[in-house]
Amino acid sequence: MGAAQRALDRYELAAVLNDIGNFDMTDLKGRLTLQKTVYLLQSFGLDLGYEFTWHLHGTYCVALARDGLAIEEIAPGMPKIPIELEDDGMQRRYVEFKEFLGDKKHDPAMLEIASSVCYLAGIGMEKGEILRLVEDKKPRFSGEQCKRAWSDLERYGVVVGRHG
Amino acid sequence: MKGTAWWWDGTDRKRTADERIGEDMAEYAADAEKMPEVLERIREFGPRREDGPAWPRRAEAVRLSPDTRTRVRRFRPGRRTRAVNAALGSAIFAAMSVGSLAILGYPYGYIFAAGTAALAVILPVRELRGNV
Repeated sequence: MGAAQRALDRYELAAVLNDIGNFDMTDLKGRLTLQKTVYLLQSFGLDLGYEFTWHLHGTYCVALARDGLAIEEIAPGMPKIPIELEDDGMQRRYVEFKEFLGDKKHDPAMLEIASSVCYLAGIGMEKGEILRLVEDKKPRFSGEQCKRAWSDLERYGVVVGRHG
Repeated sequence: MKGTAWWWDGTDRKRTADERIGEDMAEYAADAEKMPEVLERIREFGPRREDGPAWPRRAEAVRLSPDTRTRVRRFRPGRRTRAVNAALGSAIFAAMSVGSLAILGYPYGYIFAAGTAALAVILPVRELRGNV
């Protein structure tokens, strides 16, 4: 899917990804990490303008993959710039997003579970249904991981607890 | 194993963006039919697209603060660098356009000349606008 209107140009996105600290396009895991990180960032209410489709590994956006590969050339030469957003509410949300990521930012599996849970909740599935589905169809993930992903997302108001 | 190719430097970087995205997509799409219930739900819920359903999550667009934008701008190539790159690119493609007319003639030379002339305009404009 395209990025009809990107909120940031590639240099700005490179700065944001440098600040988050998990940008690495050298292998599939790294590229998967980028996809999930940006998807989750958007799910926190910070829109970068990317549209994602559903695949077995969860959410994917070709336009983001292209931008990521272009940024690969820019990011290493750019020092870490502290990111401040124009809007105070968004800034708080960005800080919360980084708190949410924590150690998960280097764990593509947890990012995949979280973004999948988030996406499935977004298309109207209920908690129980989502947890069952992810557990059944992605046997490499444990039920415990799925529940943890749900409760983390719920704590930050990304998914709503009334489901299931 | 692709890593054994002589041109491979131990990373993915030498392969083109299309090759790498193609491999990612193949990996992503593998066994996608195992989750028909999700695809069915997306079809009910979201817009249809030829290459799959899209689920744009609507949120407010991110904007960096003016101070952060200024800091980022320092790492973007300057206007002069971009102008030189654009002029060089334009000159090369214009030369290719003229060269193809002279060497290949009608009809292939005309086709190739039209393509390279278009690139001589489009690429420098993109460079000047900073659409890296």
